Amino acid sequence: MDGADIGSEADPSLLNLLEPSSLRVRVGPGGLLQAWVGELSYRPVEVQQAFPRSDPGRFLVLSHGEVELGLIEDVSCLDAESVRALEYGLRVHYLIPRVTRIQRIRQEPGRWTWDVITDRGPMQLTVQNLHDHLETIGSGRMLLTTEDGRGCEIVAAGSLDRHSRRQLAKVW
Amino acid sequence: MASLEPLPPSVASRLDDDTVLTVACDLDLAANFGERWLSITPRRVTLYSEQGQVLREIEVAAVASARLVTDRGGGHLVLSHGQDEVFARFTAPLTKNFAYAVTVIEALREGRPVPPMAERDRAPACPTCQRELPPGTNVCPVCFDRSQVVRRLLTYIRPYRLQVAAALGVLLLGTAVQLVPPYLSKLIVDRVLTPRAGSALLGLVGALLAASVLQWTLQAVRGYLGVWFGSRMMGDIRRDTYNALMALSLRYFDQRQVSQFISRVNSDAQSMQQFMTDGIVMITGQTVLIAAVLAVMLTMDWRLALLTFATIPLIAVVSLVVWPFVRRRWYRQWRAMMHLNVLVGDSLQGIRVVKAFGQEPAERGRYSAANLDLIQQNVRTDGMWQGIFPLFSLLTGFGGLLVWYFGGEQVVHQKIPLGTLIAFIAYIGMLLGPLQWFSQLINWVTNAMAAADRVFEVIDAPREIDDAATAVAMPSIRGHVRFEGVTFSYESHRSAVTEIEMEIQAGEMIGLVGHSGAGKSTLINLVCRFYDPDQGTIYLDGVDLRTVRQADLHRQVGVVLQETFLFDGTVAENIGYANRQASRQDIIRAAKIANAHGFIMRLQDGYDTRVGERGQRMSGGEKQRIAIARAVLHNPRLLILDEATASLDTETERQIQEALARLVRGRTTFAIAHRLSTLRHADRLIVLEQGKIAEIGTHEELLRSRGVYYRLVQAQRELSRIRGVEG
Repeated sequence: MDGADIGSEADPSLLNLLEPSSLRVRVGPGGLLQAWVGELSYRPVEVQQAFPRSDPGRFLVLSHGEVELGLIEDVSCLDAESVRALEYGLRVHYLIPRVTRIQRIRQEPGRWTWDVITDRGPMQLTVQNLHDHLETIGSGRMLLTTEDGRGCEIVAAGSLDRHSRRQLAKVW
Repeated sequence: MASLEPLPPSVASRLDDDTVLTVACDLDLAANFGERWLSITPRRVTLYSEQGQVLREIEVAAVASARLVTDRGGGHLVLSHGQDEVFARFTAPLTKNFAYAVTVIEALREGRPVPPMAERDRAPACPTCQRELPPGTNVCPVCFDRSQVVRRLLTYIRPYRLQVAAALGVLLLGTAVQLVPPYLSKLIVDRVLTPRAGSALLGLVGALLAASVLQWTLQAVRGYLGVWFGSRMMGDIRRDTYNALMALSLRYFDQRQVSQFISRVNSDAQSMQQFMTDGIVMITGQTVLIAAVLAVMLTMDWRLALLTFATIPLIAVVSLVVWPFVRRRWYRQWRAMMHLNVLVGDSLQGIRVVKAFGQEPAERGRYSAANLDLIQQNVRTDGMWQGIFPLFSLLTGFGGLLVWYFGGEQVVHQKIPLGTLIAFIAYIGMLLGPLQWFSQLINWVTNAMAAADRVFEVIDAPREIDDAATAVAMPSIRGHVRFEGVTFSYESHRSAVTEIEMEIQAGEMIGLVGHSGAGKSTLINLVCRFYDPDQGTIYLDGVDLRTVRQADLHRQVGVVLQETFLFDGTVAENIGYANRQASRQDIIRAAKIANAHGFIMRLQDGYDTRVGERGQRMSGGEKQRIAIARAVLHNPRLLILDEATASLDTETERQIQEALARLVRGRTTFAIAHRLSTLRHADRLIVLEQGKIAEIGTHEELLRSRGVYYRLVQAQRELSRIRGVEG
C-alpha cells in the first residue's frame, strides 16, 4: 500500500483538519492567542508547526492546553487577521531567529563564536564544535544550536550577502 | 535583595528597597532581542525596560497564579489575574532564573518565606575569574590559555620522560654524525681528487662507512624508543578519553551521535600520539640539525650561507597564512569522515530493520552521498596539500640554486676550493630536508591540535551526574523513596514529568501505569539517577539522591528492561556482569530463580555459550531471563522492571512472571507494564498522565474510583475481547 492508498482509505476525521471558514484566531489582550472554532471560543491557544524544519508554513497544530483543537493545513486560506495572529504565535513560540548577516565566525581552541545579525536583532552564539551543533537541512539551510538550547537558523546560505558567505565558507 | 545579574544603574535607581529578586530578560514581549528587567517585591511584580521605564506592573495580591511556559529555544512567564498575561519572555539559558522567579512570586502570593535559589540552579562559574562558564564545558574561555593544549599534551610525556630524553640524546648524537659525511666529502675532493693523491682515500671512505653504520644504528634505536613510548602514550590518551566517556551523563549522549566517539577514542588519540612522538622528536632533532648545519656553513663561507637562507622569511610568512586554512580543511574532512562512520554504524546496528523493510537501496543511496562528500573533502584537503608541498620545495630549493650560481663562480675564479662548494651543496641538501619537512610539520600539528581539541572537549565536559565531594556513603539502602516537587525535561521546551509528589515505603512494590510518553520511564531514570531533576528533590532513605555516593546507589539498584542488553560474552559472564565475584553456584542459583537454568542447559555449551553481539543469538524470552538472573545475582534493594514481560508468548511470560515474583520479594520495586493485569498484585499503582500523577491506589481502589486507571483497564479488556474474537 502506498501513501495515496493510506490517504484514501483512512478516516479523514483522524487528521482533524480545521475548516478555514469556521476558524478565527486573534491575539488576546495578555499577549496570548485566542481562537474561535465554529461557535466555540478557546483562550489561550497555542500554535505549533508539525514540520518546523521541512514544511514550516503548513500543517499547524492548534491546541488549547492539552487538547488538540485541530490541524490547519494551509494558513493562507484563513482571514488576514488570523494569519497575522498565527504568525505572531509561531514567532513567539519558536525563538529561533533567522540570520540575515554573518558578521564573523571565529575559531579558538575548543570553541566557535558566531556573531550574527538576525531578524530579531544581533546575537552571539558560542558552540564547542560544529559537528554536534551545526545541522544542515537540505541544501543551504542550517541550524546552529548551543548546548543550552539557544539557536539561530540560516534559511538559505546562498542568498546571504558576500561577506556572510565568505564567513560561512570557513566552516562549510 | 537577590539580583541574579548585575543591574544597570537606570534600573537599579528605580527599585524599591524591599525588592526581593531581580531577573534579566533577553527578549522583549514581541520576542525580539532586547534587555528587560523583572523585579519582584513583596507587593508588586514589575517589568522594566533597559532605561528603567515601567513596561508592566501587577500587584502580587492580584496574581492568581504564576507559571512558566516553555517555548522552542526559550520560554515566557505568564501571570494570571482574572486573565492570563504574558509578563516576560526569555531564551533558554535563563529558564532556571525564571523558574526561581515563579517560586518567589508563588511564595510571596501565599505569604510563605521566600526559599533561597538552589545552588545547582546557578550557572557554574570559573574558579579563577568567577565568570559564568559556557554550557557543556568546564573550560573558561577567558582564562583559557592557547598554549594549554600543547602543555596538556606534553603532560602525557611525563611518565616516559626518561625514554623521551634517551630518544632525544640519540637524536642529537645522530645529528652530529650526520654532519660528518659532507665534511669527509670535502676532504676527499680537496685532499685526494684535486691533488690526485690517493694515499688517504681508503681511510676517508672507511670513515664514511663508519659514519653511515653509526647513523643507521642510532636511527634504529631512536625509532624503537619512539614506538615504545608512543604506543604507551596513545594508550594513556585512549584510557583517559574512555574513562571520561564512561563518567559522562546520559544527557550528554542524548544530545550527540554516539558512533562518533569510536573515532575519538581511537583515531584522535593516534593523531595526538603522532605529534608527540614523531612530531616533538623531529622538531627538536631538525631544529638542532638546522642550527648545527648553519654553524658549519657560516664557518665555511658566511656569504654563501646567507644566500642559502634568503627564502626562509618567505617560507615563514606562507606558513602563517596557510595554517588556519589547512586547519579548517582538516576539520571539514574529519566531519565528513565522522558522518560516514555514523551512517555505517547506524545502518549496521539496524540491519534487521533495513532488510525487513527492503531499504537496502535507500541505505546505499545515503552512503553514496556521504561517501561522495568525503571524497570531495579528501580531494580538496589532500589536493591542497599536493600544491603546498611543492611550493615549499620550490621556495627552499631556490636558495640552493643561488649557492650553485654564486659558489660556482667563486670556484671558477679560484676564490674557494671545489671541495668547499661540494660540501656546501651537501649541507644545503641536509638543511633543505628539514625546511621542506616544515610543511609536513604543519600537517601533523594541525591534525594533532584538532584531535586534542576534540578529545579534551570530552574529557572537560562537566559530569552532570557527578559525586559531590561530600557524597554520602550508603553501604546499605533500606529502599524508602520520596519524590518532592520533581520536575524534569529531556529538552528544555518540553517537560517529561511535572511536580511529582510521592512516597514509597521500603519493600513496597509500585506499579507505574499510564499511556506511552506519560513519564513512567522518566521516573525510573530519575530513581536510577541517570538524570537529575530540574526542580525538586528525590530522597532515598531520607537522603537527597544527588548527595548519595553513586557507586553505593548503583550497587543496590537492579534493572530488568524490555530491551535487554546482553554483552558479547558467555551466558555466565552476562549473568555475573554486576557481581564479578559470584561463584558458579551463585550463577546457577540465580539462573534457577530466573527460570533460565532449563533453557541454558539445553544450549550446546551450557553456561559457556556465547550470546553473540548484543545477545543476538538468544530469543527475547531467553535474553529476558538472563537479565533477571543478572538482577537476582546483583541482589538489589531497589528493583526496576521496565516492561520486563512485554512481547513474550504466554508460557514464557508465565515463567518470567514467576521469576519476577521471587525477585521482587522484600525489595522496593518500580514496575512498568503495558499489560495492566501483570501489575494487579502491586502494593500500589501510580497512574501517570502527561507527566503528572493522576491517581494513586491499589488495583481494587482504582477500579472502584472509575478514573483514568479504570478506563485504561476497560480499554485493554475491550482490546483483548476483540483480539479473542479475531483470533
